[in-house]
Amino acid sequence: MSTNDEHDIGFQVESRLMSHGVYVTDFETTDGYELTYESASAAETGVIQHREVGKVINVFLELHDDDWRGRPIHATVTDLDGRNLGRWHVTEDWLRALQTGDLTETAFSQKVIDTIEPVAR
Amino acid sequence: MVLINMTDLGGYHDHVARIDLGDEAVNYEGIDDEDASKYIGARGLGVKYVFDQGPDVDPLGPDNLLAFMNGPLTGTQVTMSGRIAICTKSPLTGTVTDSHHGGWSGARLKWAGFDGLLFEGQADDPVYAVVEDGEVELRDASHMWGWGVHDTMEEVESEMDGAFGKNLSAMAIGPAGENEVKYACIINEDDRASGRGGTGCVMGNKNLKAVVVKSGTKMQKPADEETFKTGHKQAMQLIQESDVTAPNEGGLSMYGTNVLMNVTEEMDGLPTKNARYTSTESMSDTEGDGERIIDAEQVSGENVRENILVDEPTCHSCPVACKKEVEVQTMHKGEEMNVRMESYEYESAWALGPNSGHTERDQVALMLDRCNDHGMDTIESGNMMAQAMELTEEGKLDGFGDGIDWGDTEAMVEMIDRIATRDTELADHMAEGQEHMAEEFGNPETDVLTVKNQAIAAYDPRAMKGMAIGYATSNRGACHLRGYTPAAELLGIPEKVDPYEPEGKGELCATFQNMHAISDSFDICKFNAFAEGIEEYVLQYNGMTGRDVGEEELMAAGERIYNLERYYNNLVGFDGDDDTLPSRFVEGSEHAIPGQGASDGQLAELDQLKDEYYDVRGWVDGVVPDEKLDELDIEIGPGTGISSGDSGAPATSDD
Repeated sequence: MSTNDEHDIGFQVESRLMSHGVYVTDFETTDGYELTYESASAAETGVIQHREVGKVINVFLELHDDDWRGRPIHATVTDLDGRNLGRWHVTEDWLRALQTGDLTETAFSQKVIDTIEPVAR
Repeated sequence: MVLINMTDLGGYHDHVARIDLGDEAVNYEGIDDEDASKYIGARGLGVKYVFDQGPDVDPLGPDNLLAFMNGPLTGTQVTMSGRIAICTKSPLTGTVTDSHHGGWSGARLKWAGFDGLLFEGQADDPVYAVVEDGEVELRDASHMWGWGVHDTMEEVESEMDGAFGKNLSAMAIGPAGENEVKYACIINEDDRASGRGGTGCVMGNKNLKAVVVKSGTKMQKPADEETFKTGHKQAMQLIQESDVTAPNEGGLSMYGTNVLMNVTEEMDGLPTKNARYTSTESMSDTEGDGERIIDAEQVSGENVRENILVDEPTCHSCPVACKKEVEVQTMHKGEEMNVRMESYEYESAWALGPNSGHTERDQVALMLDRCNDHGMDTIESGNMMAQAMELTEEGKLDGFGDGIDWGDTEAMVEMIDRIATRDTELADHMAEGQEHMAEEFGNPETDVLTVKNQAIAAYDPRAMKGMAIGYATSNRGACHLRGYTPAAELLGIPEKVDPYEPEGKGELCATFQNMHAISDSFDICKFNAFAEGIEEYVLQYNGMTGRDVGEEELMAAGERIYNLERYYNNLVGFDGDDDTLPSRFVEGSEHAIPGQGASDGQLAELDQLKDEYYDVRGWVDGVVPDEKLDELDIEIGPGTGISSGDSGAPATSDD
């Protein structure tokens, strides 16, 4: 991925997630990716949907080459009015292990699901 | 010298390739800004390009244009926006036609830097076009001529430095297109078809085997991001709340288009056995001697999901996933066959199943796969065989051995192969369409299920009066997708209307036709309209293009596009006499066959429906008067020479 692509990744992530009802409102690239997104499905159900978290991670995987070493991803989820619903994250190690086959997709998914911290209401 | 003002609207590349296949010349041009504004893109702009070629062109001559068009919303973040419009003069109907397919072809063409590809002329030898980074190159395709679509896709992928599903898409013809079967279609790598109107026949006539597009995902930024996102969010909320489109919950998402099979069966709106009946139950009641001899449930979306579904692939930017990929083990000529294919669509399953007198689910899958590989429209193919079955029963095909019998699935599979290759004398005749068959062997008044030589789809016009006027007035021949009134008549979208009531259906149909002309020109899937409305269309269109149109202005653009098509057809020679229905559906016809069961006694009140429709349209007996062309700012061509006050005006319903 080139430097120009890195500048563009926020737009690319945002564009690809919109069709899933995921609207990125804040995106930062540092050592990893920090994003905040509005979720149409979470807004409807009040719960962060596991399937949707998978779609977000898949977009990052698609946007990078197959040999991507991975970067941590930290996400904050809100409803469509911006109310905080919770957070989740992925570590660089898990992504690397997924790529090398040391972690199955199921085990990877479970690790990510375990990080979901819903906001108490 | 006329200076053309090229478009700088968002969502466009202002880049179209014009390819003369005769001398292998590729030229590039921009898009006139006024045309882009007036005709939106995709279908609208494609029809305009076809119009510019002149209405008198021979559909199978070098002057006919074959336009592959995307629109300003194609390949964007808008939901269900992976579509492409193929526009040309149809060799089946003689009208202008547009036929769309989903998947990723349209999106990749946009990402490759193009708003459209315009093919003219005829190549001396078979070629395929490779599209990449804003350029088009023609390559030899002689080695693929005669191949099925699936082998062609495999070969194309191996010859390109790319992969389907990653950075490659292709649109190809099979033997049906090469042999100029009048209803040959164009199929992409995901079995998505530009099915209707014989676009594949035109492509075969041009010796163009495939169009291959290579590009990664390069979505354009909306000109007005805030407006765009507002519209997108509104649309997404509606899609998620809809009983039809809600991902993993709605009927369309769960069962695909085939969710309708049981619905139409139950209300006796499913033409059965060449539309002699309005449901398989009604056929059983008459012919079953107390037994249920045929049941549409066997080929329904629910049955497919329960038994043979293996995957639910999506098109670009689609949360619904209506495509249903199936796998079956079935027998053909004593051999066990494994067939994995997408997609088991309602209209296709109907044409090759109940309307042909059987409901053998796995045999239907085999037939769909054969049609796809040959590149032949499933709806037309099924209708052709149903017609041949009826003619066989009546002894009118006695000169061709046994003809083909009702529900003989083995013979149907064979016949698909034969038609595509024009292998036998009967198949050669069947490759020409229903009107030709009736003229040769039957009675054109009674033996066709067509309008303008294109066959009806899976919605019985006796039971859905909106569909009746929709078939009759569709600009591309009988078609359920020009004005999808079953949305209101069956699904209650935007509100439920009585399907049997003729009053109001002319207006309903015209409104749907205009709405679909807009979405087909964006080019986004019509299924968006199961959830969202004109307000969401306006916001997303304005957001992407940077324009500031209102709802009325956008609806006027839809009306303009529909009238442009009609005007083209009028110049070809079509008028109100051609806006008709097969006689077995029409009230007052001596050949009428009234509906049965839940639609008992129903027939289409054609005259009443047409009177209201023409009144809403402001047409004079199916012809667009010059005043209407002026009103809609349609400035091309000589005009129809018909005035709003001319005596050819349709009689009112009081007469």
